Amino acid sequence: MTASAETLNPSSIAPPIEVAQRRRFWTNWLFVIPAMLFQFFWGWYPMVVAIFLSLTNAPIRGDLQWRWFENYARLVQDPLVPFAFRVTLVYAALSIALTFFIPILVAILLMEMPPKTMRIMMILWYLPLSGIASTLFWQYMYNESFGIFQWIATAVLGLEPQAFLSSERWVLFWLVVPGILMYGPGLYYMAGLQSIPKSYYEAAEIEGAGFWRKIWTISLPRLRPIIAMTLTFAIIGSLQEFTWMDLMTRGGPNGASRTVVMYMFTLLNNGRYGDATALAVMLFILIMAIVLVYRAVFKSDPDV
Amino acid sequence: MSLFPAVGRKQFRTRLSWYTVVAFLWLGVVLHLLPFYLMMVISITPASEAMSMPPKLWPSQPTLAAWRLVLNLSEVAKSVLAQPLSRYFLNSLIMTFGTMALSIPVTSLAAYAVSKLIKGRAAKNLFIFFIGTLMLPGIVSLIPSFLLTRNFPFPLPVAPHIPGTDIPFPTLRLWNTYWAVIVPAGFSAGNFLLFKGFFDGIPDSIINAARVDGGSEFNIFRRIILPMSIPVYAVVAYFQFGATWDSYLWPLVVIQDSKIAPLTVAIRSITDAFNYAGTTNPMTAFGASAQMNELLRQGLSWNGLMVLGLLQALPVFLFFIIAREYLLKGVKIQGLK
Amino acid sequence: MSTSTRLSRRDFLRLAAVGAGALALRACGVRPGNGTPGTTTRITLKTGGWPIDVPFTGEQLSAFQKGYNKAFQQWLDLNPGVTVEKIEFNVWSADALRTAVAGGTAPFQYPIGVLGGWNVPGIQASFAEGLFADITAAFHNNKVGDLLDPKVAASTSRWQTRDGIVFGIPYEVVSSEGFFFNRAHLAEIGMDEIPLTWTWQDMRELALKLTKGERKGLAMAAYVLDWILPTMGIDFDGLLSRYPVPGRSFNWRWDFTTFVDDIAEGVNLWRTMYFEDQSVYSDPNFWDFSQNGQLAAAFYAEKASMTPGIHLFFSDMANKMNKTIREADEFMGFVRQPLGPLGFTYQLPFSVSAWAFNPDLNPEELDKAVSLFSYMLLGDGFVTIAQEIYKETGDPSEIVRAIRWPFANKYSHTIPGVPGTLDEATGKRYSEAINTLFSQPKLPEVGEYVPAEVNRGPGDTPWYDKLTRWAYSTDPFDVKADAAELEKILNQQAKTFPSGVDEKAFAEGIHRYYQDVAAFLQANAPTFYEQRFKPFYDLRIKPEFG
Repeated sequence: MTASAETLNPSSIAPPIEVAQRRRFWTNWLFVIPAMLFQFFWGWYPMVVAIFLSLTNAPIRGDLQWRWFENYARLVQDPLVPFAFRVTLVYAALSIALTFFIPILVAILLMEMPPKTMRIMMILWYLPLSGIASTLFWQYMYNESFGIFQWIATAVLGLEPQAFLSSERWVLFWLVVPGILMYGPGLYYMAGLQSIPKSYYEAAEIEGAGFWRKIWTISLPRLRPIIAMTLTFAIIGSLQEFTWMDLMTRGGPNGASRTVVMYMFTLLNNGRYGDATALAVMLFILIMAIVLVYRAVFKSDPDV
Repeated sequence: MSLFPAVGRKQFRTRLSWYTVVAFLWLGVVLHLLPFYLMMVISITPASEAMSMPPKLWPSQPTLAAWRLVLNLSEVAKSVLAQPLSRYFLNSLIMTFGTMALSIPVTSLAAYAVSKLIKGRAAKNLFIFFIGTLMLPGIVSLIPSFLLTRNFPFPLPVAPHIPGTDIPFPTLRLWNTYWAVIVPAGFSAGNFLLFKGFFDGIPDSIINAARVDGGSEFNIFRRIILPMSIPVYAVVAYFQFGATWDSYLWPLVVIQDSKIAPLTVAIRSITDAFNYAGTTNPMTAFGASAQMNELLRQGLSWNGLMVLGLLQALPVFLFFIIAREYLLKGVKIQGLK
Repeated sequence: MSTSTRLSRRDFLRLAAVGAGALALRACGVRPGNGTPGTTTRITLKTGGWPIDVPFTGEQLSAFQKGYNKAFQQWLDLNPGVTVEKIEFNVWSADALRTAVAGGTAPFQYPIGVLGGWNVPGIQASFAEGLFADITAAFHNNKVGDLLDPKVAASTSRWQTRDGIVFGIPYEVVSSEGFFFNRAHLAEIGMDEIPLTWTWQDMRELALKLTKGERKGLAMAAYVLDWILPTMGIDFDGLLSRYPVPGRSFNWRWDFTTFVDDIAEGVNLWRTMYFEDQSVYSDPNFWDFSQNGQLAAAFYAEKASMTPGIHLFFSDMANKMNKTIREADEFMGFVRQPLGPLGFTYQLPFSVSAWAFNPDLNPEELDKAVSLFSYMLLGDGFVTIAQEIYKETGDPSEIVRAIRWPFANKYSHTIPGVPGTLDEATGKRYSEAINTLFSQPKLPEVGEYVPAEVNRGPGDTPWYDKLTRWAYSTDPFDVKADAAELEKILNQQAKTFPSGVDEKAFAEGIHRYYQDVAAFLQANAPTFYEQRFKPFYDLRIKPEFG
């Protein structure tokens, strides 16, 4: 593609193609070199050190001793580890299924509002939420005795009192529910939607396309690269979820919401830095595998 | 206003679905606002009833006592807050804008290159190189990263000696400076994903057309891509602002001088002392609450914490409003086409 | 970057690319040496602000703060050349503290439990890993032992090794866990105090009687079974649920099946209180153990008659409710946890909370650090602070309001220059309850008998998993199956930890430990001894350790 652009170059003082290509090659890399340096020194370098520590006794102070795969062997034999991986995978799947798509729809709908309403709604929908307040709020919502959810279940729907977060079977579902509203990257979709020319929709309307059809044939395909990235992000993020359970359930009941990262923190707090690092590396491998598979399946180019 | 038909808006069915959409959006707004409302209410609730369950929708005797206490915290409780709040505020601003000024250009240029300039296997490998670090929980590399700020480029507590001499290798110490927060955040893998997604959506034809006109790659980026991308820059800037402004553990370990410490460290240390007191283990609870006694004597309670929380959140709100204006500029661009 | 006023975008990119290099001009340097020996060195101690702080400034200082400043100045006058510097640091964050200790940037003092996991094996292992300084020399040089209350000085498991190496200084005394109760509510049902010998069955009846309309007899957190089951000898490190197995792997194994009927009984008791009697204000998400949480709030608002706590919260709760110490004594009392059905309690009458010192300090710095810490919190400085508070307020109870009573030093009853006793100042009923509690006999602690294990072994996570399920699950479950599973998980984990403890020393310590436990139980809980401990001993200990 680059070559064809070169041959079309009408400029008579253009340098020979190889020279131009070589120069282009170097300017291309100039774009990425600063980022590579930062990513190397502050991203990979400490991480590789950490991975290397997972093969040792990983002392906080004192002498380093090789343990090779002893830490890994210990984790493999720990019944809580496969359990934590299962919880993590189920949580990630639930969280993506339930929380990923609604914000896309909300962003599309928000763009439909008259400009003034949209300006207000946008502020209110995407107001950044503070940790303490939202935790307090959701703990209150979920309280089994006087929470709003319980009130809805018993007084409005006439059901038996529900267990919510203390039900082993449903706890992951209930942990995901707040994310339906509170999930972040809606703003990002709006940025993407704004780059869609209005004429596309007008043309579609002339062809008789309705509400859903326009979303399906114009909005979503144009958002596709953006969705590809947010989905990558969501996959990685949900597989590493920890804070939310830590605040709401502390991994309970009976470990039903203890994710891998949460177990990793438990190990850290038990002074098992080497084991914690090894567990993180195991999670790293899993996430990497999932992301690679996903990237192979989901092509992000809208023009294909 | 692109999805609803331009004609026939008065039809009953169209109107019904229109109002359904409006109602749904407002419902979301209300649910989003409840936690804020709760926070405001608790902040003006007298300390004695601040932590009652269920929370009250309006306090029996609203009071601004907590606000007054917090705003004068550095005077009434110097042991709790070493510097005036404004100092921490300024430090946070310096770190946040410093990080943004470094990270956004570095990250977006790399994302653009990987999205549009570099093709094939190199692009794939670069992509993994750039986002791979996201996949390892950051906490495990905390200690090595921290040691790097002490003796760059050695992830060791003390720089090793040059072989055969008594002289240690010269090292760079970022620790306990603003740079210790700014430099390690020079590239953001998360923002890279956001930028790349957006750039991927820009048709190659636009760039090729510009190449035909003979622009250098950098000029194409600056004159054509950048104006189109204002909305995504606004969004990323906003995310980055929020992330840096709220970061706590990293500044806590790399900055010890209260003159350059950010607001989170000052506030979160207080709120954490308060929260740690609520733990399973009596020994933990007791330990943390030793510090709490001091805070309690100064009159700090849940209402005060909410004030601190609101103060902490305020700049993010403000920045959000600013970013929103730029985000909305995209609408105008859309109108031009 | 600070020198250039305005950067063009291009300049900025260039700068960003060489960012690290540009910084070198400003921040290049190596770690400075630790002073030269033999000269009067200037020593700087860095503190996170608690409990040793720099002098308080401001116009309206509290009596405590004035006293603190005075005592602090006295110490500085005695120790020329030492400065104390305040740094921005949160010693309660385990992540931050671990990192700072790794890189040598920790403050000079930090709580021993944050890195030690707040339990004896963890604290001992942390010292073995080098996370705390060995302060034996400084401790003896400053005669800290003489400043301590004798009972505290004798309770060494959290700040000394078995061989007498000192790595911490006791700072406060923590009572056994128990309940604060509302005196007025108790009076309504014709009771005055709760006896120390009450059982969990008594608790159930009491809570039921105290429940009245909206008001619940008890506010209780989700760790409730972690209080009930241990009084039956069943715990993560319980007397009957864990037994020693010396060998190359971790030295302990678990057994939750032999006494599984006891577990079922305890679970049943709680579930009756919670689900049937409805005499408890609780929720699986209540984990607070403090004066700040939702349980305490219910207690303050008199919506619950009892709330869990430890005696130290007394002063905090008084502050929180804006009550004087005397008013607080009128309002509430404190009693330790109920006993198990067979009269056993796992609880020590009290335990000691200690602070550790930064292992990067040199001996001279350590000496000053220990001197400052013990002076301000245990010795003459402490006396100065108390005297100042008394001088300012004319009320000895204000001392108790500012510094939580009883103290770890020998001034718990009288302080020179302060008239009367502190027991009176604290409130007669409350101080009597605490003094009685503290003089209870002490169950032997295994940590004082066997050498510390560097590998901390399996964590208590699976234990808590089962507790939350048993306490609140509304889905059916089987205690027997769960107990077997718990045992299997822990034992499988235990096998994977190598042991670094000398087998002979371990066996010898274990032998003495169980002898002492047996003697203690025969004297203090004879029924429990006969019906539970003896069968356990014959099954698990006798064959191997005689």
